[in-house]
Amino acid sequence: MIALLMIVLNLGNLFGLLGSESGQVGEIAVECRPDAIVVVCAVGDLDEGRLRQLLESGEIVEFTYQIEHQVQRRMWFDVNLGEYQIQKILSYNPLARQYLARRLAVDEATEERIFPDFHEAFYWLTSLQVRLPRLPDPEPAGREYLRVRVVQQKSRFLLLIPREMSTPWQKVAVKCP
Amino acid sequence: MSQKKLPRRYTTLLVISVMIILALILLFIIHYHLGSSGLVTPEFNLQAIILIFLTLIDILVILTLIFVLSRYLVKTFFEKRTRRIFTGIKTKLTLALMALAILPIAVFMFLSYEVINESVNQWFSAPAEEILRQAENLAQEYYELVIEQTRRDMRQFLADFPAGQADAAAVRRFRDRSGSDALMLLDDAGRLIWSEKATALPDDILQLDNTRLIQQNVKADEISFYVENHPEADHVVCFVRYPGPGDRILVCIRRIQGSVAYRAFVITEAYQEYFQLKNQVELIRLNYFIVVGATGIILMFAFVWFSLYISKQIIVPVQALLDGSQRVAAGDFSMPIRCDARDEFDVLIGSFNQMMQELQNNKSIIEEASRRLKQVNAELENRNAFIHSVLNTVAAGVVSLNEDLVITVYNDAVRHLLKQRHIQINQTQLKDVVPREKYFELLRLLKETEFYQRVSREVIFRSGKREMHFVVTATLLQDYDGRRTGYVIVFDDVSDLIKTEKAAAWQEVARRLAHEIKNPLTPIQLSMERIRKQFKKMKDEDRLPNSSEVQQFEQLLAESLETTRAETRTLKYLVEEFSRFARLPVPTLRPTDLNTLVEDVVRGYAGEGNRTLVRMDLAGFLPEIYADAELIRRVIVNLVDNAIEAVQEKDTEGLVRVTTWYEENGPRILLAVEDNGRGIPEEMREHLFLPYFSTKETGMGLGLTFVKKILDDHDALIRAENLNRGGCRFTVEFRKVRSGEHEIRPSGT
Repeated sequence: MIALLMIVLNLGNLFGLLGSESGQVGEIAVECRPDAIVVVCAVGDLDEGRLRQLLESGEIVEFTYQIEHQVQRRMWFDVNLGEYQIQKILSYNPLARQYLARRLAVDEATEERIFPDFHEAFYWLTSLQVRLPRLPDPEPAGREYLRVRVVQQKSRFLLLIPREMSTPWQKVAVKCP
Repeated sequence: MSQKKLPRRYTTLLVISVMIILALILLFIIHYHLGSSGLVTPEFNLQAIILIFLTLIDILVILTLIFVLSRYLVKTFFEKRTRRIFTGIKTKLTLALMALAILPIAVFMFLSYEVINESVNQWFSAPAEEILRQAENLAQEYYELVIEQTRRDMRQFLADFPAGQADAAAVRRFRDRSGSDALMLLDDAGRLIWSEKATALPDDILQLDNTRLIQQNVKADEISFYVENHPEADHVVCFVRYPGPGDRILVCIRRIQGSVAYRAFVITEAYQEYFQLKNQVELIRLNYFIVVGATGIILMFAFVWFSLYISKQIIVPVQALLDGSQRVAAGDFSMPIRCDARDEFDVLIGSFNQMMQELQNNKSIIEEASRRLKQVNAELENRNAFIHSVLNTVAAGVVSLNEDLVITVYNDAVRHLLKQRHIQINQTQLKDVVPREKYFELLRLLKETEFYQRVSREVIFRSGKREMHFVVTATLLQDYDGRRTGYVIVFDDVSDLIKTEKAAAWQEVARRLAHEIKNPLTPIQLSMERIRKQFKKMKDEDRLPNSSEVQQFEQLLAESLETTRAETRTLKYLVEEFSRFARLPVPTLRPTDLNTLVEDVVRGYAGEGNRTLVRMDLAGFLPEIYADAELIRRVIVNLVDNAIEAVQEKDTEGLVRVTTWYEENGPRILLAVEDNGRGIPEEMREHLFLPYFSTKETGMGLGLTFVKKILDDHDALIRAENLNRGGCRFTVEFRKVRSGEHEIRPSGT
């Protein structure tokens, strides 16, 4: 019974890649275009060997990129301008020796990729390029910023209490004219 | 309506039985729903709920056990620190049982650790891994073979139909010749343009998702592929951009044989499971350790709890018995021991409680007897005190002796009469308090009591020149068996009685003497007067010769007559005095102010011009006495006269002081007349108040006799004493005092 307890408690950790010790969102590049803000970022310090091991042992690895477009305001509940989520799912077919990738996002067509090479799959999984809409009424310069983090998966403590393994939030200022 | 309560042992059995049944049900549920696999993950809600439920039970059980054990250990620790009785044995017993419980479990846990370590290492041994890897490679190579064949078919097709001129019949022929299962041409949007497929190929092999996948990964110069895991069989799907007008996609599908695909699937699954387990080997090891550890801990807690339970079964009754014995030692039998003990302890506690009950009953009886004894003792003490008080009020001296003639009881009169100040009960002997010659006389008296029980005799004690007349009555004391236990001697002072009897005798003598003497005095006087008159007549008639002899006779006659007259006068005075003494009136007692009497008397001595000073020192507050004022006045006059005469015998200036005062103890009023004369000779003090006893040449010796007689009639006492500074003092003590009316008078001198 105790074993069951421990397994339940450790379900998330079995497949954990992101956390305080490994996996950080690196430098975030923001490009302002007339109709959009293009955000480019990547997850660094990720354990490639462990990811490969997980994939080859049949696990499906799912990264969710969470992006929050915020502005500096006095009231904390009034800071959000927009929230976006992009899911990247990677699996491995050992018989075909292929990595199957899928990218899901709201208001975006599902993207499915096949990678015969792990490194390509790894790169695809750990990097992100996304177009965010620009706001019709821009905030004063220098007050907008983006927060980005990657959540590997959400688990539930005791199958009830949600908990997640994720990178810390990475922040970058948006300086669009 | 009363409810019958089940005995605790049955309640405990019931609880244990219910717990065992619940545990069995729980195990059944676990087995049924979760299976017996080591690593269980919840697949649906019920399993999750069961897991949560079990987990919570685990946590609760462990927390409860930890709490119970910690509480017990902390309690035991503090009990030991406070050095509460029996905690030493209790601690030792508990620790010993705990050690007995912990040691085997510790050994079990250590062995389990070793076994698990070894077993896990064995599971992931190199040969097994190699077999799996090779099987996986075999499956992969087979799939690669199919893939390569499919690619080759596509390449051949592109070579045969380079610009897309293929018609349906040519495509069919090519498919039949190559052995492919399907050939399809899709447009840019993934829609089917044409297809040639075998009838066995599932219709849904190319779904929207597949076409999107193909569409997104299609390349112009490279044949791409993927393996479609269809439920019926795996299929290799190769695709490439087909040259010609428009962006078309050529798709070639080849089915992998079902049995091969199944085996490949099984191999792959086993391979993945193996590596999943291998990835989790440390966790699995940890989980097993945790299982063993947790089981060990639960077992340990259970054994410790059981050991504590066992020790409690022993300690609690013993401690209760110890507490009970301490209470018994302290004399408290009121509370029986209340303890749920079993077996022999139950019998022991029952016997102890019975013993306490009997002791309680005996104690009650003893306390009742003691209370009664105290009551009797108190009554005896009260009675003794009463007897002692009565004895002290008795004027006679009473002394009780034991067989050894040691004084056991005496009253105050004994000390006064025998002039003994220090008499110690049960120490002082009779011979220590009486003169030696009288001791033997008393011994004879005591001896006589053995024959007559009670013997009385007059015994005269001499103190210096004073005599004290006692009527001594000795009584033999005997117990119920007639054995002698001691004596009681009563000393009755009859000195005053004898003096009174003497005074009465003298009064009677005086009365008779006066009567006998008074009668012949007048004839003698008359006869002598007739002789004198006859002789004078004869001389005047010259019938007598004028010779010297007649002259001598005349002179002799004159002298004789004078002598006779004087003596007759003396005799007459004497007779009158005796008559007065014999005829003292019966006093009429009325409330009288003594100070007024004293002032009246002393006022009479003022201004006489003599050299004796009479002073008064009267009490400011003096109640009236019941007295005959005239007689008391005579008493005061007599005492003051005596005092003045006493001081006039000395050449020094005389001083007579008359004092009155009141003493509440009695109550009594005292009158003292003191002088600074020569005092009373010691040898005369005994006869001071007897008639015809005087130190004065002219006195008849009846003054103080009168005083004594008057004061006796007033129930008053008089005593005389010499003063250290010279002179004497007569003190009169009036005991008939009028109480309730107090008149305060200013003191005068």
